[in-house]
Amino acid sequence: MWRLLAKDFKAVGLFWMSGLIINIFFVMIFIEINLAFLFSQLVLTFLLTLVQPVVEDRFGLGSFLNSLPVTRADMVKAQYLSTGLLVLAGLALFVAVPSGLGWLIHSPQIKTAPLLAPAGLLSFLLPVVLLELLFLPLYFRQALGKSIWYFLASLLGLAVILTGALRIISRLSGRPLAEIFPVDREILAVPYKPFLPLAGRLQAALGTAGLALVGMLTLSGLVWLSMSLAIRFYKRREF
Amino acid sequence: MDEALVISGLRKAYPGFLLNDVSFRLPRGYIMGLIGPNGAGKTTVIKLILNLVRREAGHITVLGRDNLKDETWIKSRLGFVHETPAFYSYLTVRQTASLVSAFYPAWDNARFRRLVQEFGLPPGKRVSRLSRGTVMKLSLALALSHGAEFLLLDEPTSGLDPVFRRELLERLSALIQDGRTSILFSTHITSDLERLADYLTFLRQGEVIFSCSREEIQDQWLLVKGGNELLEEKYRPLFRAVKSTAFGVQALTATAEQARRALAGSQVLLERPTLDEIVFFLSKEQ
Repeated sequence: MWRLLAKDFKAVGLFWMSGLIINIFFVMIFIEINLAFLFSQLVLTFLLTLVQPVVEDRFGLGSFLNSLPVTRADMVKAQYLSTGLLVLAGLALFVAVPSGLGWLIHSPQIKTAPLLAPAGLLSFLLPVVLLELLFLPLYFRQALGKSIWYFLASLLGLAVILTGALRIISRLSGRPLAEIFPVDREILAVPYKPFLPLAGRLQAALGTAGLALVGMLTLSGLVWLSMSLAIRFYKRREF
Repeated sequence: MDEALVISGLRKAYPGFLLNDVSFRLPRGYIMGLIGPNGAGKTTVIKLILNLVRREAGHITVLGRDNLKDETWIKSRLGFVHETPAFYSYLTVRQTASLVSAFYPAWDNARFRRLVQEFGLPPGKRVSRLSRGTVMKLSLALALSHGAEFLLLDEPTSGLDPVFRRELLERLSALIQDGRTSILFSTHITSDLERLADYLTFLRQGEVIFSCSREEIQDQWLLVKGGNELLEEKYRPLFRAVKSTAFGVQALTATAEQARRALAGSQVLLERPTLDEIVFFLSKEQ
């Protein structure tokens, strides 16, 4: 697995580095609006993790890579590992750019404190991790082009399901939707504001440590499920 | 006898194509030519050996081990050349070798450098800037640089100039002199195999038509050239395939002795067929 990771660094490391550097300049454009900054950083980090799949798909490397003396399970694990490292690099930028700019430019327009709070970091980390956990099994199941379409369709489906679930909860609890999931102009500065009521209730019920533990366990379970599915799919892939 | 490759009862279906009950074996230290017309299933067999596609039935052992259970062990001792080699084409020849070498404990860098020199590969040039033949040479150099005990070559001579093709065939011939290295060589350029292959397996429409040593072919197969009398019903059982032209009739038999006896006294010409002729006739056989 480590040899595969080293291979990825040799093969696409330069693209990753260029992507990260481009990220810095790109995200600075959005720094005055925290929501835009968060969104751009999420998209750019996800695109960065797509570099290797795109390269391998573009050059038709399936047969070549699968003729190397490594198991398919190891290939999947190495992909998860490299994706995890890229997400961490994205997180490092997510922290470094606002902190650095705050230190360099003392502009009243730049209010990055909400982003640098634990909730701000989670608002970057959780979506990008969940997107990857959804995308990777699809990628290992079929060719890249198809997997991107399936991924977008899954996202659309999830959005519809979550919106519907919120409406149902609102109706059943007799509370207005705006109270359960408050979306207003303030999300431009505090992008995770709509999730605070739910997080507050969970924290009250489980305590901070309990919530962290449940969160970690859920995330670990999702990683295991996603990776198991990806390995199962990839073992069936034909080249 | 120690076997490099044993394939038995292999089956794989695609829409419009069925590889059915394919069985053959290659003793260690020999070269086998896998021949047949386009679409016969040669590449599918190679992909099944490498586990690039999933078999529906059958069994494959490479160097005495099961190709699914011991996949990594086998692949570390196997050199593979794809009919259309693909690499990270923006990397140079040297970078590609560095990337591949990390996966093979027995990688011999000095050997790779020697091959690069012999094959005339430009180490600093990007793969994307190499001609198809040169990419094939790179693929061969990579396959030959980690002490592979079994070489799996899928149409390795396609895209190569005649001079290098000849050199390559000589090199392959020299490789097996250690008695340890074995080669499965798929091609539709049968002239490549005339002198090189010790064994030949002929595939047609997903089935093994024959799999035997070159000596057996030389002893048992004959090309009969004669007049229309060869079309007579009594001769039919002798022939695997018959071709009638304006200049006469040509027929291929796999039972040379029987044909010689049956045709004794007839005005026919008996010739040893080339591999090309065997492939041609058997491809037309119903």
